[in-house]
Amino acid sequence: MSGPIGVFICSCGGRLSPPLNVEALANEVARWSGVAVVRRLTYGCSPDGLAAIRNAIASMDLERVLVAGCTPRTLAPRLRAACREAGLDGNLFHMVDIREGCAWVHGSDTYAASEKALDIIRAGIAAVCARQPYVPTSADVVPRALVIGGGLAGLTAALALAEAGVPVTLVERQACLGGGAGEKVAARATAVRDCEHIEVLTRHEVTAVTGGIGRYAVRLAVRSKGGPALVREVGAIIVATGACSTPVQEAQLDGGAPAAANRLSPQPDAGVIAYLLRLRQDADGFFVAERRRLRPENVAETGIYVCGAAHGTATPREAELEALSVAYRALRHLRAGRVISQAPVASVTPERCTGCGTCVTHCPAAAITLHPGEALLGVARVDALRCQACGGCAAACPAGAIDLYRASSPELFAAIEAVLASGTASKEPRILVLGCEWSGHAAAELAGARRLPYPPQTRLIAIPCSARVSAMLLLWAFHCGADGVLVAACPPGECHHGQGNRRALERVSTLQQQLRGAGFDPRRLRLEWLSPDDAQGFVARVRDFTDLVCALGPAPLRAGLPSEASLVLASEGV
Amino acid sequence: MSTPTPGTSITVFLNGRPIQTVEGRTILQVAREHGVHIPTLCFHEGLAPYGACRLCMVEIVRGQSRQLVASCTHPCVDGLVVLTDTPAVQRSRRITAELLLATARHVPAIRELAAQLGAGEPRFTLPEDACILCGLCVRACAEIVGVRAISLVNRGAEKRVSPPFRIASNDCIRCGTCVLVCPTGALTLADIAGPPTTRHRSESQYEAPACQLCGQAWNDLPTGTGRSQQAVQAQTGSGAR
Repeated sequence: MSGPIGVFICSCGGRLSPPLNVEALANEVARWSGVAVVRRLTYGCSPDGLAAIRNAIASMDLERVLVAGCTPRTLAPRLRAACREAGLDGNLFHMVDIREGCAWVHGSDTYAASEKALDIIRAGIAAVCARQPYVPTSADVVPRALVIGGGLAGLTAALALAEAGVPVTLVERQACLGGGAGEKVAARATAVRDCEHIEVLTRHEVTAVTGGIGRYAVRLAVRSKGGPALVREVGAIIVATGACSTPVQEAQLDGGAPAAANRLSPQPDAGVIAYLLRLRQDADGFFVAERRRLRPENVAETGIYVCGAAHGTATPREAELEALSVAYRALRHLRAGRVISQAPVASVTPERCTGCGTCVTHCPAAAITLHPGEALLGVARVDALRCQACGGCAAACPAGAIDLYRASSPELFAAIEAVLASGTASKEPRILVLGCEWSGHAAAELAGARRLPYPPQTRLIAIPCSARVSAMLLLWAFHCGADGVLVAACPPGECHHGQGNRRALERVSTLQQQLRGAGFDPRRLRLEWLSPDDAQGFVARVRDFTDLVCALGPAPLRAGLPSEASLVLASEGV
Repeated sequence: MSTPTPGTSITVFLNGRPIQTVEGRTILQVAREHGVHIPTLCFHEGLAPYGACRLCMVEIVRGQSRQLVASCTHPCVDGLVVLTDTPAVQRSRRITAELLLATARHVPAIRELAAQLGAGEPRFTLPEDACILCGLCVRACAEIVGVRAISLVNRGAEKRVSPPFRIASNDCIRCGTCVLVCPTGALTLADIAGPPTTRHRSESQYEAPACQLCGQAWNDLPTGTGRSQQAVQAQTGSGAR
């Protein structure tokens, strides 16, 4: 079991009252079992408040800390840092929001707001107690770069890196450098050949890439000959393979003015490079120049960069600027010398893994691979530096073998149960909103900051991405007494983790059908698309959904009667 | 952390009340901790003090002289005498509020604040603009999120919050922190976030001005050793360290 937990309730200088009486909340929480200490703070975020938290951790040997106050979005980093200073594992610090998520949106209803605040704190305690210490992964970066392609972009990038003192290996398939030609290119090719920091390998191809972030071992072989292969260990790889122009036949241009006779297409072996470097390709085969919208702590620099025509049409000027841009980005990566994955990531329990590979296909970051193991099909392994902590694998794994650290199944199940606990004694309906941190939950927080009221029957649980929503999680919510569950996800095409919202939609639709089959009204489960800055939209959807659930009455599971839906819960595998 | 621990214990006099505190705190931090209300718009505990809105002005007394200072940036020293509600402070805040009303008069939060501070109808009017240039969004993006997708660009009357070169940013991660901290609701993600691409874009509404020293426009400069090296140093900070 978990060690002593300290709960700190911040009164935000009295801005929670009305409706919340922080002293009464603290007195109630102090009665709960497992809570070692409850402290009230005027401003938990002020130097005095931080000092109070640090002192309590040190003097009472607290193993876990929960702060109830404002939205964690802005102040959690500062509070977590203070806990780390006092010797606490930063991941055993948790923060819940009773200001934007409660006091500021239910101002007119003291009773409901207090009940909700206690639910929120109870869920926070449950969540942090379900956590284990976490050790961040890190890797050293080899201060050497590989540039694939000796065209204008490749030459420019190689020169820029070499100028900065980085040893560069430049690989070109053809016999001579130059690629798309032009006199500027010829001059640059000469400069590259004369540069002492650049090793030029013409007639060579990349045949294998092993290793991982920070240290890629790249095998370079002489093209179409069985000659000896070279291996270079590099920290950064710049892909500047360019494009080739293929003549377009007249017949394809149906009438009209004669269009350009050439069409740009990717290199014929672009697929090989994409496979080796785990790059994505668009419909035409060009590399996708896509930046994942993730927090810097969630995304370790892979050290693989694409520039120039390799990802679509580029004028020579654009190719050149892009090459410089990626060269400097690579340089920053190489000079940093070390990659650290700060945010907790997914991990596998090997004994449970059946090697089915479901997680591999669900991972948006290509972070999971199957390795030979005792299981027939191998065992999944997570590359902690590549993992983006969306939780899609945890939701998809049929064996429950893979889980995400800060949104693990035990943690989410405990939090959902705790946040709905007061509902069993209450006649009020309970609405659970599972909000993606990037969209639904952000919109809820914004509604709080703007003080837009919504029904106090709502309970919010943040999930890292809607991909984390599994059928089990939703059924568990109903089992724990939710009368309605609303999943708030990013609008189509805006998922920060690729296809998370599409997966959530699939799972919600499937479960709705199963619920209907089990005689449970599927309208109690709903998925909404929300933008993170759409506070009004959040309020409108929650109101609408609450009205519907109120009209439907208490859910069958809530009445405490065994029903067919509980059979679904029992038989449901995923 | 900005907090020196253990700090030297000092006494400051806040509206005549002696208060024990630690060296290194700002006047505003001490006042907040002890229940003395000082209005602010640009202050956020998660961010470094900035001193932009000038609403948190207080008077400090040194012998015969009195001085108006921004409490969010002014550090406490032993024996400091602070008055937070003198006529001079009230007048300063009222004028600041009136100036805010000149552009942000349609923002409920600003109207409410101005009413509390006793500012009536503003004597000046400028085109309506909800942004009061407090810089919270810019600082939150840099200090909390660590992305720096937006910054304050231009100077004086032209100053505004914008992604670099007024191109919708592809660095923006759409986390919404800027929108969340904005006290006036002036910001939407549509103003900031561009397509999430890694491709370098070079087009801009800005004309590249010619260099005053060499007469060449930036875009025409050759990518030779000199410029690349400077850019490298600027980007990696290697030159400065």
